[in-house]
Amino acid sequence: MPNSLFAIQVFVRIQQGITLRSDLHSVLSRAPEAATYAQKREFYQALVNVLVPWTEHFELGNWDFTDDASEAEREYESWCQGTLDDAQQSPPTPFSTGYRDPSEAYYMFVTMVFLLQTGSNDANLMAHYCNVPEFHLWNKQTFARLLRAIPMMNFVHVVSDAVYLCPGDDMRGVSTSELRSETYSYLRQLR
Amino acid sequence: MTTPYGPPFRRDQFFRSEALAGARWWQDQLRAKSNPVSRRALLLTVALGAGIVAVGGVGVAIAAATSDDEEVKKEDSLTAQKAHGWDFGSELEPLPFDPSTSGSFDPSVCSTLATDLAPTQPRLQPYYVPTLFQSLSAKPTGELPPGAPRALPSVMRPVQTPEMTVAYERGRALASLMAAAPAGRALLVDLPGPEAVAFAAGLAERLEPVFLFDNWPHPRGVVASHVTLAAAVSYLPRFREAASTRSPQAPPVFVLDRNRLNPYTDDSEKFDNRCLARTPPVSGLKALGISQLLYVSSKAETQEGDDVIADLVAYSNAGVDVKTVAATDFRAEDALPTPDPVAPGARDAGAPIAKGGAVHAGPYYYGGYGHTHLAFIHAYGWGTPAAPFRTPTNVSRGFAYRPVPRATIFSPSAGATKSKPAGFGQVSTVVNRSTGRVVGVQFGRSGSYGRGSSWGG
Repeated sequence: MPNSLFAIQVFVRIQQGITLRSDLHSVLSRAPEAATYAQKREFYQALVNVLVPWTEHFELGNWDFTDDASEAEREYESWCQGTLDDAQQSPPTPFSTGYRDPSEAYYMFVTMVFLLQTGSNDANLMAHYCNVPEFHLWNKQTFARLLRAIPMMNFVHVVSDAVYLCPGDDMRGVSTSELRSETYSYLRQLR
Repeated sequence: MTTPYGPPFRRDQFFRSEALAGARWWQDQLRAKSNPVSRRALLLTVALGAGIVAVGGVGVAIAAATSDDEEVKKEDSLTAQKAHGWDFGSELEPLPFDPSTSGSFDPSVCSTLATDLAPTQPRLQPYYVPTLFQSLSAKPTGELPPGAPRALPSVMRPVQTPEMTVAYERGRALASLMAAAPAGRALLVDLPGPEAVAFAAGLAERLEPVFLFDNWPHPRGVVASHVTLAAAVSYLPRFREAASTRSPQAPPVFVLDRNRLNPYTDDSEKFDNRCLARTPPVSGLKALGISQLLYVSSKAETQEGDDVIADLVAYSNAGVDVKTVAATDFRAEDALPTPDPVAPGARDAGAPIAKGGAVHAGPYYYGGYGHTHLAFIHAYGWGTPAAPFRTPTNVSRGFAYRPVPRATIFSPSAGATKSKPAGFGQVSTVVNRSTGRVVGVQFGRSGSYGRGSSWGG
């Protein structure tokens, strides 16, 4: 059966007083080993509840939807493996030693990726929400709208899903220098 | 879950490193459909596990087995939380704090909060209801899912809102009048939780707080008692300081969370953590020597709480003079919409300057002016003020109040001053028929389960 892909990623600057990373980490650390459909909805609802109130802090991001079967499965692997490779091969800069380059800002990011059965209610729902006029593609509020749609899926036709949070602790972050590298060239500035 | 097949999603990745946290799941049935080899393996598994099942019927079989093996029972919400954890059924959800709140709790205050905020006077201790404060350190008594529940202090935040700042100043204004109060006066504060705490903190210099918070917080709580709890921790230093300087015979202020009766519909996605006011009995007030009780509510127009009116009537019938006062009767001088035309010299020199929309840091006065403040003493029959005063026209007429019986859904049944209506403060728990274990919460009539993880059954 052919599959569709939905993926979304947002970057937020790490600043004192922003608890987003630790709050997301708290939800992620309780990711169930096995899950029912209801548990999947609850899990993503919890993530979205934490994330959406910080919409105005979304600075960079990207999202994607495709119902081309061969592209969807390849892209799904690319999003999952790409995120892992980025974190493991060039991990975010540690600043736990007390040195933080004052000319640098540091960012966290969260990625959610879904492989959906094409033509199913879940895929149709996300396709509907992803039908965004070009002018609004990279609006922060568009990202918030897409995030809110995720727990609306019933997950019966979700083949696979993944969520990643980088960095994994409060002692590091992706620096602006790193963001300027080829690795992150796919990102869009959000407005 | 209780089927031989288990939940449909299985996790194949889980990361908790310094660089990355994350997880990935696959739904085996659907993965198999896009992979002939896996599909064959799944068919074999199903056949071995269940004997006979057509692939198309797998989902139906699972649903039926789940439905047949579980039943829904109503249970007292607080009892369920004490047994299965404060966040029972919503273990993955955050507490809904305002996103602007930040910081973390000092864990050292959490374990002792219930004793730190207990009345110091032995005569008041029987009326103290520390249920909410105990939630921070309580250990579940029943069977738990793996890894649950979360420690409540780890998800709490300190809270300080503009409304709390105002309530604190209003409490201070009333406290300043208590110096002139004859013996036998007491207060019953019935404000939204965080403001009730702040108001009590403002009063604490002259009155001993007796908190009556009888529920626990929950991520989906009808009552946002986590904010009340956070407010109590925020004002803890003030309560401690006041206790060290207050008269050891200070009159009591009983403190209620007005949100305890928040409206709630049965089909909402909420957890019904509402509770009734556990106010002192008539005999208690008499034993404490209380001859006048001032009931403090948000506004003059606000009715007494539906679960309190029978108590107020009973107090009154027993000879206690019950009056009301609105918290809004106490205002900052510059907060008034239209300045009172008074002689220039009569204005209080210490009053703050009006700044549009900003919180007025005080001082606050009864009627909004220094020269109307002492009118309270006269209006509430406490005697003649020591200084001249003017009677304000912009305050409630609580001084003329008398409680009048009215029927409510909490109207007393035989032998009790109040009773809980059916379903009030209850939760629908899902119980496995075979094992008797509670496996989750059913929110509302829609039947959407809240299960933190696969457990029980």
